[in-house]
Amino acid sequence: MQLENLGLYYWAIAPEIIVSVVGVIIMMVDAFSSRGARKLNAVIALAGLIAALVSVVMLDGLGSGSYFSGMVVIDPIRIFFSVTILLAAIVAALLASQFLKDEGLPPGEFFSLLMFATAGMLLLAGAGDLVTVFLGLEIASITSYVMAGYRRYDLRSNESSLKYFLLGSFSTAFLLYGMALTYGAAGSTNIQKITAAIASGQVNYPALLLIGAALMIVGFGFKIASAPFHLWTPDVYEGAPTIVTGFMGTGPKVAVFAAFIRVFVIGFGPQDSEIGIQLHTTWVTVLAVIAALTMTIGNVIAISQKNIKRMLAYSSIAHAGYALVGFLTGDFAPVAFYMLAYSIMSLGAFAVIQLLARAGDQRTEIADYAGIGFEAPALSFSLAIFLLSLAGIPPTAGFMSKFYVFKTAWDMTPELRWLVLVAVINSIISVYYYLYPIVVMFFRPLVPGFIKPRIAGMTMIALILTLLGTFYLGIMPNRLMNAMSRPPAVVTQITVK
Amino acid sequence: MVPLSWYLALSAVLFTIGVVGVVIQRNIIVLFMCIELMLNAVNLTLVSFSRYLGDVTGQLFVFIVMAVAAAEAAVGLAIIISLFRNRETLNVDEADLLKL
Amino acid sequence: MLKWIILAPLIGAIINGLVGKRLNERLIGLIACASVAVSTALAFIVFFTQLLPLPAEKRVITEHFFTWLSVGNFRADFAYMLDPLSGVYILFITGVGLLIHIYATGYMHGDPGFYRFFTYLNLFMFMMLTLVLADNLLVLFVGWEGVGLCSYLLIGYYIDRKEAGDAAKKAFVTNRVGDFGYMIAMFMVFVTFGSISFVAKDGVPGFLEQAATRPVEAFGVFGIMTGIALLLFVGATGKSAQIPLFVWLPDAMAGPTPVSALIHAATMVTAGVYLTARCSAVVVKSPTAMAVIAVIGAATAIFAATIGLAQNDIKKVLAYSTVSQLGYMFLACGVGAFTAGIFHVMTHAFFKALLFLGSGSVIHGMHEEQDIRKMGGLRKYMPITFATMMAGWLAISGFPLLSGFFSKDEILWQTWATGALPGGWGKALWGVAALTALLTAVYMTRMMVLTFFGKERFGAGHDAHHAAGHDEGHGHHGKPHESPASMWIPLAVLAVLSIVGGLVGIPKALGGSNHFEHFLEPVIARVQTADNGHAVEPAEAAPAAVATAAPAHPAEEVHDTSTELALTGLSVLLGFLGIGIGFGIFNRNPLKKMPTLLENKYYVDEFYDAAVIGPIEHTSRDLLWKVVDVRIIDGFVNGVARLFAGLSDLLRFTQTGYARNYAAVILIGAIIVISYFGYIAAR
Repeated sequence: MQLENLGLYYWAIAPEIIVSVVGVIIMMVDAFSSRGARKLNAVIALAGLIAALVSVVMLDGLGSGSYFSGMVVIDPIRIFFSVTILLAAIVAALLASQFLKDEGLPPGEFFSLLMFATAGMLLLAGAGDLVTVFLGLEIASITSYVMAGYRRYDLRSNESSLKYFLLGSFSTAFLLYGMALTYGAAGSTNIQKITAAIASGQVNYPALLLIGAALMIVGFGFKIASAPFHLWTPDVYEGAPTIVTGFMGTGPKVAVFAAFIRVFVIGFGPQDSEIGIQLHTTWVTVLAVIAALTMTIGNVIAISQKNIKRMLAYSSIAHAGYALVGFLTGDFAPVAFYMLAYSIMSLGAFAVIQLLARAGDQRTEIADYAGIGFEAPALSFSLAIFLLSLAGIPPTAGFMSKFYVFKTAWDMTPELRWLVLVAVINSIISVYYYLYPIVVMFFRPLVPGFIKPRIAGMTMIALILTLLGTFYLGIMPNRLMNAMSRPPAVVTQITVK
Repeated sequence: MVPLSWYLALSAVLFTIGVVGVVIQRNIIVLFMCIELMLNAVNLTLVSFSRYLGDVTGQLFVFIVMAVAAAEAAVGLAIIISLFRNRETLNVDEADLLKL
Repeated sequence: MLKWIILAPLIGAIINGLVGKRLNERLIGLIACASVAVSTALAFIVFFTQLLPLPAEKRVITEHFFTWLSVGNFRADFAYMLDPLSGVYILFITGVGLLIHIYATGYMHGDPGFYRFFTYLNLFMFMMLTLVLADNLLVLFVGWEGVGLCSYLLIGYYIDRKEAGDAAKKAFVTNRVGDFGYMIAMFMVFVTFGSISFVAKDGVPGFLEQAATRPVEAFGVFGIMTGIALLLFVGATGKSAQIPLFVWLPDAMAGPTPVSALIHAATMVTAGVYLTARCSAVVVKSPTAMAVIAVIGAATAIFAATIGLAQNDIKKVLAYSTVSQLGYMFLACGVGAFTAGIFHVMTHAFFKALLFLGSGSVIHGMHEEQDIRKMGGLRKYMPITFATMMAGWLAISGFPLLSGFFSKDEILWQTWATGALPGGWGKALWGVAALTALLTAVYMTRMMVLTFFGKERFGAGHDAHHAAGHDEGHGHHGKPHESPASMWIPLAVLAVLSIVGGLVGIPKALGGSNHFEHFLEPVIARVQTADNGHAVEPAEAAPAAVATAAPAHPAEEVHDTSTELALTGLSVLLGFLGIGIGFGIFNRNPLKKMPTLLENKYYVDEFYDAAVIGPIEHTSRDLLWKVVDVRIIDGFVNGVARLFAGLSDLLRFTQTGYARNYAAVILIGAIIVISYFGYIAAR
């Protein structure tokens, strides 16, 4: 019996397989080598991630399709979001080496957790079925819970992990309930089949479908940290080790956005049936309000923050709001571009913060940054560039991504122009708090007790990569934008069960 | 023959009990059990739909949920133990170092 | 070629920024100056060998660098454009910029942040050239923000001084208000015309060409063109320090003096005028906007001049003077005389850069003393500085045949004869502008007199201060001293430019042929309305139409010339009168220390003090400066910030730290979302 007949094309999940296997290898290496295997682990992890990146690019060459009975799909959404996830993971792996050394934490578990989390995110980005969405989400989340509490003897890290875990599981239950109701209403867990059922009006209980969609909005809304489901974000981000914060704030969010797009924008898109139109207009309305609320709350509360990690946590809430504006355009490209730009600049910022914070995150108050501008110029200028990019000042990635999202939303959804205006006003408010650390760094007298941090080779590479990325996307975004604006792939092949 | 709506109502009630429990309970372990209750309420929904639709996917989904819930329990208890070691309490409200 | 004009300073900035810390001062200065010199040389070569030989109507050189972004129907290129307007700008930006770079190598000698300073300064040149060579509003905005950033960094250059940090913050916040206007304007331009490019691209005509075909909006009508013009002007008021956003500029003097000369006098602050002139095709379609621009310009001019009268810090006097002169430029734009405004931008760049650099030389020679009350008699010690500054002083005061005379006179005449505003407005604005000219001469004379003439008012106290071991680089004697060659050579060059710089634009009435105006004419839109609101074709311009149309009608010239000559004579008279008053009062009595020669003259001085100077000084210091500037405007800026901070403080208490509360909030959110969906389902 040939495997093809079962619809099992293993190469369709090659990136996930590579990353998972490398995760297992790292555990093995760690078990059989002395404690000094930190560098070796990092190198294996990086090699695995780069191999996965290559396999993603190769998948792109194979064209769109759906595999494993529609459980996994290959389409531009998966490709672009997977690339972003892997880039975030690569930067995190580069940074992890110095972090683990400085903190004296065990390296093996960290890298394998990073690998498994990445595998979960990749699966989430490629999920074509509610079952795989759930599976991918949980793999990514459970590993993230552990990573948040990786500094085991630190009360803040414990607390961060606990809050993330409790609230994360709580919201997952909502998501799962939504999936169950959708399954009952549409008669399938396959997103394409759900769409077909909605389009043909063959829905068992329209009310169940709507309630199911509402519950899924709660679940996804929690994972991307949108208001009012955002309250966990600042606490968890502040308490987790900085590098984990950087990774958590980017990778899982990117992956969840991919699944969110696939379920809502594509699955619950404007279909030619009464229920389809009803569902679409309802979720668009709700998410527009959520987006406006998310941006405003994130930006306004960020103003009064004194801790830079906490401030960036609120900023990440605000950025989820901007990305939601792109989400509502009905096109994946603005969101994909936005999340890529956001991941790069946010990881860059967290990399600098990690270096300046020293072991145990001792110095993360903005006051600790006073006057360091010319004591550690390379780090300070990098941080300033990342913050300016987050604020959306040209010619950085942040400006370009905001511009792309706002412009697309303005053109494609005239009824949501009010939301674009809210977003623009919000980005102006945000400039205020992004500039504050810059002012403190460059225009305040030097704070006593500042020690210029050592920058390890791998960390330096990560910083340079993120800096280059910030400018590349800001100055020459066209190639990427053109690649993304290929028409969203129609999945052509559904293997019969 | 018990109609589908009864199963759905039961699972909705169970889910609500779980949700309310999470909001009003203080003990982390109880809180965690409430979350498990929510997941199992969903499982009940899935199974009843599976039966109603004559489609096996729902039951498969339940297996995956159970597996994931087991993993979640393992990690969750580890986190709780780690917190207990440092704080010597199981009251969730005492973990309030990070705020504002 | 164009791109190298822009990139040369960037390369300098990158080199100095990356490795400057390890280089010695000489090399840093060399890199910085050389990069600007390359850019200057290229600018002159391109201008004279490529732009000028083109026929007058086709003087546009464009250069496509790369496509920055194209989203949907929106496209912005990193493309540069050289036309007569940007040509004039790059010439004086690179020229004056080079001189100031050279000067700064002397002025900043011994400063621990030497490389940092030159990195910023080179970066500034890069941004400023991007601004003026941009071929669309977005790239212009990149430069616009960039110069703002450099300005901000350089104002706060002396990190250890608190006022520097405060001033930098103030500049930044104030400019944000202006930028907001600019962004909305850019957005409206795109929505209205479907293009933000100045020139046609891919078959889509630039927005300026499209604007030119639109009807004029009658006075008092708030149409789309009025909206765009006013919002662009809001942007301009921020950058160019006009009422009500001027407050940052005087404070910006906390930066090093070469910065004040380059950024806060000669180049960056005139970016607003550039923007207005560049978008003249839009502005002339709205008499309402033009009236607003003219009135704000005139009001700023006289307002700042009165304040300048009462300042004792040499740089503050010059700062208010800059604000006042910028007011003139906007007045010119508002009355439709854009070319006159640009002409004044250029001459002002020469003489104000000169005056600032001169003041820097004085401050340097006086060992960091800025209070003119503690100077006096310096011409003996600093003859070159004195001689060069005198050229600047006479130029700004409107001394006949010097650069400032021609440009200021042109503005005054155009204001008088404007056809862009309703009848009578022009005459009234002329009155304000003429009075400002008088005040300008008075306060500049006061500054010169207190600094260079009369008795020396520095002495033992100063010596003691100096002996306390303050700096090595400035020599070891307590007396003021002349500055080094690297500082006075740029002064001398600028002095020559201040004297002869106006000759390119001698008006017809004085026997010249106003080359400058003819050169700019093709890129500047003409005013098309007369005072009663009916549209007049430029080809049959009414007698009152601006002079851009005038050369074509020699018949009308005859009539105009006599009035123009009379007004010119009057303004010369005002200039002399101002200088006379300044000397009369301040040479005799700078600080009421000097004995008076004649009793009745003494009586006049007293009278003047009590009746004119006193109240003006009092009003300007206590009312205008303290109340309006400090209380109202600062209060407003801080108020908005405080509002958000308060809201923020309130909202952050939603973050209680208790996981169960968070779960409750999630639950409430979930109930609301589910209820809404349920409501839709049940409907």
